[in-house]
Amino acid sequence: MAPSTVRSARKSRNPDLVRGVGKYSRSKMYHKRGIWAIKAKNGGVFPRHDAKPASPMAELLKPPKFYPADDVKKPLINKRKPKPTKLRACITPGTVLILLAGRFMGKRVVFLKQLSSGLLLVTGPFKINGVPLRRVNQSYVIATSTKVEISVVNLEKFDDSYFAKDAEKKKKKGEGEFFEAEKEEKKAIPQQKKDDQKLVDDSLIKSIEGVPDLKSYLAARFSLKSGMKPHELVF
Amino acid sequence: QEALVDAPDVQRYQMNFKRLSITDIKIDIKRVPKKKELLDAMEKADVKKKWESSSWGRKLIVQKRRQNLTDFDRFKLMLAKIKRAGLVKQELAKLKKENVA
Repeated sequence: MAPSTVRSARKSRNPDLVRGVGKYSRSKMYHKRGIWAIKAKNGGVFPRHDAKPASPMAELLKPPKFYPADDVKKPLINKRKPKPTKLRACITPGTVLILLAGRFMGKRVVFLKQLSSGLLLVTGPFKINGVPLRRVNQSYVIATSTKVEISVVNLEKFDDSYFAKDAEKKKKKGEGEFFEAEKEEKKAIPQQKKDDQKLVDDSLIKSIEGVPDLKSYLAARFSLKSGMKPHELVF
Repeated sequence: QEALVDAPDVQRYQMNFKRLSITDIKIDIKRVPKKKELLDAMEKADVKKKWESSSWGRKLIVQKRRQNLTDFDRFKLMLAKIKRAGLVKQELAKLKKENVA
């Protein structure tokens, strides 16, 4: 509610005679300030409003009742969000990649897509070189310039959650049976995953068989031979 | 001692004699031609064709091809080499057989 006239800073209506002594008495000041008129306007009572509900801000701004004895350092606020991994320009869907580490070291493999975690989804295809649908880090991969036709395959169902490990069952503690139990626990691959693999691979294998020698190329492993200089090789 | 050197796809620059070796190919130009005149003269003398048919030029072409082989190309090359070696060995075996008999 803006006042109709702009009020300047309030000057006291009670000028000082000497510092600490006003010219007018309390009763005179009551009259001067017009409290009687305000009361009359408001039906004999000085207008008052109910207390505002305590805002949460007020709670926070109050000085605390308790200070801990030792100063504990708080870590600095970190609002950094890691950026999604940038995919190298040479890696496009259908590119043949060479895996550089892990169980399938040296295998030539077809790139399918990049997952939301930044890892690359890759497949052998399984029938050709035994590499299943698998996630691979971009850093452990050499991209070749060989590409395979990949447009037909539907890859939307594959995400990082597809590859998450199942929650481990609680192991029973038993000394004698320990070793036997471990051996029996070799997990069989669920049929769903086998079907997914087949679905992806069938169309891939057709396009691979269209190119001469490509199938045996993917079946073979890559290795450095004598005289090969990786920094001079064109992949 | 340095020479002024120029090529169709390069800016004219100076090069030490030590880095240069002379070929048989010659073109007809005045002492310091403009770039356009140089290109015309090279076209007229058909330098490119002469170079690529010379033994040095042919070797260079092969070197460059080998350099730019991709991994798949190297694989195909390996298969071809094995196949060729197989054929040679077959013939050799035949000849050996005839010799023994």
